[in-house]
Amino acid sequence: MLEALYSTLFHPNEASEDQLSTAWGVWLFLGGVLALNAAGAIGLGAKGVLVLAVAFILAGLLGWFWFSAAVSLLAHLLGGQGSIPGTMAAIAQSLWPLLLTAPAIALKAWLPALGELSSLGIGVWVLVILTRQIRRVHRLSWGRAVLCFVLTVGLAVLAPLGLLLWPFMIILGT
Amino acid sequence: MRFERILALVIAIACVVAAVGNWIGAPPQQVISPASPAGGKADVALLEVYGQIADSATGGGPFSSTTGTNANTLIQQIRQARKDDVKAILLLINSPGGTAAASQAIYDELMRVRKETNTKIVAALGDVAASGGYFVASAAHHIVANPASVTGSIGVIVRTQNVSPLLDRLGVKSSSIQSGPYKDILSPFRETTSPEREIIQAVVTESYQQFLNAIVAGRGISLAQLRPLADGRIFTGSQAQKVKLVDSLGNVHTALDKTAELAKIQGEPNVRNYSAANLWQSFFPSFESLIPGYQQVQQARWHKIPLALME
Repeated sequence: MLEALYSTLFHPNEASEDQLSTAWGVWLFLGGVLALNAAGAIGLGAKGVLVLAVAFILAGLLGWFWFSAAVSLLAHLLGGQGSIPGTMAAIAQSLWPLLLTAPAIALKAWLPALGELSSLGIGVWVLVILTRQIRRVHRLSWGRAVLCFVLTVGLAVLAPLGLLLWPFMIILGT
Repeated sequence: MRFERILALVIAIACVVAAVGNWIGAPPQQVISPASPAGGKADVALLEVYGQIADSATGGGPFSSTTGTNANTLIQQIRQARKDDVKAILLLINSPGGTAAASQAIYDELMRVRKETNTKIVAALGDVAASGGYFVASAAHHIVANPASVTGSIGVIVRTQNVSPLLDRLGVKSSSIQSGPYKDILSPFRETTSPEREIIQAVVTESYQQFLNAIVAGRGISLAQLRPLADGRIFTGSQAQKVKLVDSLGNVHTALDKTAELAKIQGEPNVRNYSAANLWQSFFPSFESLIPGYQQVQQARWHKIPLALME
């Protein structure tokens, strides 16, 4: 896991082995750190941190599953050749930089502008690494990888609407 | 490889330390914001009375309505606050009223808290706290209104329509088979008869009297003082203060300061919003609210309710 963190942060071009077992660890670790950040932002106590951590880890795992499925499907439609486990591992690994949001938030207390800039930078960094990993795993061109990522995000945004409207359509339409 | 591991470990530890610092070192929550139930013992319970007040089934989930104030839910929240032994309850009221029974039920629960505990109750009036909204507010020890808040409208109204001339034009005949002469009282398909008017008037008068008695008990003013003000007229916050329907002018923060003062809370009070949406409601909007025009339908629904404190 430590090698995966190191290579994501310092050598993103050198593809590490896509290990699904490592990816699970990412979610546990990341969920905990993000829960602490969020608990600080909204002023929660110890129980609140615990609830948030469990919620974040569960939400992270669920989102990871659906996002990876959507990326795999769209990448294959765009001519990609990667496997689903490989996609899942690559996506989880791409999110490592989110850990750095903790120091970025802490930085806001002393240097708000720099803290904001760091948060923005981390966000952009994650997007770039995500696209790069999609490109690498599915052996797509940059253009197709970006298209795949954008379409996946669009699909993710619209999916809840579809899920809500499906029962409505079936009940009223049949 | 060893160096990489050490560096990654240092980064990971630094991130965890920073995250713990973000949590522990976070500035205290601003008051008047939904604090979590996990945020320690609350001094002040924040309760929201927004929109139409109605008595409906409790429960949540994606298929439940979230518009207006559900009296049953609010009563549960008051009881929870009482169970949590809060020092004060701050009611945020922004409501044009609602049904008589629902407003009365909330009022009764608040008066029970007043009588049986030392919990102080303060009402902060928002844009409007009229009729049923004021009914609820009158259970407070202290009422704070903005100078421009609209309040008052103390009275009871039963509205009915006679659409039979329109139906006649359309050639539609309406009839009913009923167990008694008054079963179709307030029928929109005919003119209200004299005996029916007497029955409805008696209900209105009785309900109005209950409303007045509640305000007299809650506000500690005499019936003689109240009656001239209780002809259905509305007041601004400033006007209401002059006639003693409200105690002071100010905003929500003024109301919170007053709450802390009455409850003798030292320092910054820990406020918990008991009306805050639960985790499920935060993530999922109610199913009905996704339907275009649902809000308008909800509003229209009230016109069918025979007894309302304000329409």
